[in-house]
Amino acid sequence: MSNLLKIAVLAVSGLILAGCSDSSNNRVERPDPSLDFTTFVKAEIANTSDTRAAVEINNTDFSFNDENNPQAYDDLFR
Amino acid sequence: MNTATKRSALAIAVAGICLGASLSQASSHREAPFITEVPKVDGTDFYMFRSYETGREDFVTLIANYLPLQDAYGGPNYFDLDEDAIYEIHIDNDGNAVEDLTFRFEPSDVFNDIQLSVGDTGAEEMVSVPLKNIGDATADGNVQASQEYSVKVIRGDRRTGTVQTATNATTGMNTFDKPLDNIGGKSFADYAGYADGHIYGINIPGCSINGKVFVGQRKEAFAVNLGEIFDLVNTNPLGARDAEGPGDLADKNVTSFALEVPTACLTGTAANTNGDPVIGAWTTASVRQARVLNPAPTADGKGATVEGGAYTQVSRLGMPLVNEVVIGLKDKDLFNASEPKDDGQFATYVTHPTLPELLEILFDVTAPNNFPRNDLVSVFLTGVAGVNMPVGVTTSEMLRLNPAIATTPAATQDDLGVLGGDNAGFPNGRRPVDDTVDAALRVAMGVLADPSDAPDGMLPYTDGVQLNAMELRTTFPYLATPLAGSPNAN
Repeated sequence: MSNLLKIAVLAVSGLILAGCSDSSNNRVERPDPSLDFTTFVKAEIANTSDTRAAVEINNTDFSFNDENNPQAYDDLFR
Repeated sequence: MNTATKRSALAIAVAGICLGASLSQASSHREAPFITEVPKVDGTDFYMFRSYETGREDFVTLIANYLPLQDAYGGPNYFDLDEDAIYEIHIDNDGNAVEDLTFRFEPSDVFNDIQLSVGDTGAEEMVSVPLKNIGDATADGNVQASQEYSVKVIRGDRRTGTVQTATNATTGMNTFDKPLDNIGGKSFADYAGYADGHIYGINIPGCSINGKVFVGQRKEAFAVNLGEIFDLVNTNPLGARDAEGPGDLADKNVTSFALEVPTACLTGTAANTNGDPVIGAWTTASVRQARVLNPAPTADGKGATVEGGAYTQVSRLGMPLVNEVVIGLKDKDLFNASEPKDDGQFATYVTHPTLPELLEILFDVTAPNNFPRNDLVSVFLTGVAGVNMPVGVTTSEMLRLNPAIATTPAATQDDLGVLGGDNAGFPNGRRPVDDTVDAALRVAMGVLADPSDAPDGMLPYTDGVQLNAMELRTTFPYLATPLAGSPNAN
């Protein structure tokens, strides 16, 4: 796994963990081990280079969390 | 949280293998499931031959065709290349199945908003026009959208090697203009002359002699009946070679990347047993790994899509017909994403090909039984010993050329190439005239195998379609002027 992917996984995990710290909800949620597809795509676009190797994805579990969020990629077009 | 987890896998195009073989029909037009979704980067045919234009014997011509099945009338946008893609021609000149030299073509769009004054006097509004040109398209001021390209020369790995930029030998500029497609006779009074004006001398870093370059639309030169072939070979494979006319592609255009390079700039240590150099080559197209659609592609914004990430290969083509009729359907996308150095994974498709078995089922012929099919391995994966097989070659699929073999003048070229006694043709490289369908059919059915293993190997297999060689040019870029979109001759 590339450093880029590791960073993306950590970022997603961090966001999920932050959500679980809500004191109004005592339920303990397990971090989703999958990689948020939107985060992955944004990380890819932010790390564009002619000299990089493509990221292998066959063994990556993606979670698609923005399928009902048409604004998910708006920041890419600003 | 809406967490719909799916197994990844998808996206870009995967990879594959290669090998060799055989036959059938379209060299590589829409041959794999994924590539049908991105026709602008669909490689269709790849040619490499010692230049047979008078006085150019010390050069090798490389032509990579993309964007298949173009109907000339396909306006108003016609058939631009993908400016977010790169189109490459790779050279292996030491026989190890890894590129030593790469020519990378990078197209880019040139847009000149043309507006007309429309409205009542005193209340006119400037309004952008919907067409590519508003008059004689040879005048820049009449053209709203065109393309240009640069050529990078990379030594070593195609992504991490040393990158240099080729320049226009006349102007010193590092961009070249791509001619507009052949819109028609009203936009271009002399399209052939207009297009010829886009043949440039090119200064290739590391070469002491200039080459030539042309990127633009050409008439399709691959002759085949796609419909009949894919309808379970709905034709007579033992009929006359021209029994079915010019073929389904005779009214189509393609887009060519043509490059003529001094032979000495392409050769390396790879040599056959006679000491003749051998050049291996193939073409690929790659796009960025990630692409996001813009829900509001305003003219002053970021366009229809945003791309990013590493270049990811989605098309590969060396020897003709390999991915078309040799590679199994499940592995075609994989093949398009693969590199020759990894071709061992697909060896079974060549050593135990399915096409001859299919022909045996469909017709009253007997498929060869010499397994593994080393005769096919020779033609498609290593080169032919004493001709275009480098000593110590790594088995891999690519086009291989022995440029020491004398050229055959255009008027006397045999379209069966080596099988017809013309060693300057396929599979010693590939010329536009070469009928690779008929040649590959014959090889697949065992013309090179021991007759005891291939009892029907000497039959004159054909798809019944032949190119009219008279339509080809005898000078660079060799492929004919594209068909015009108008007036409609039909």
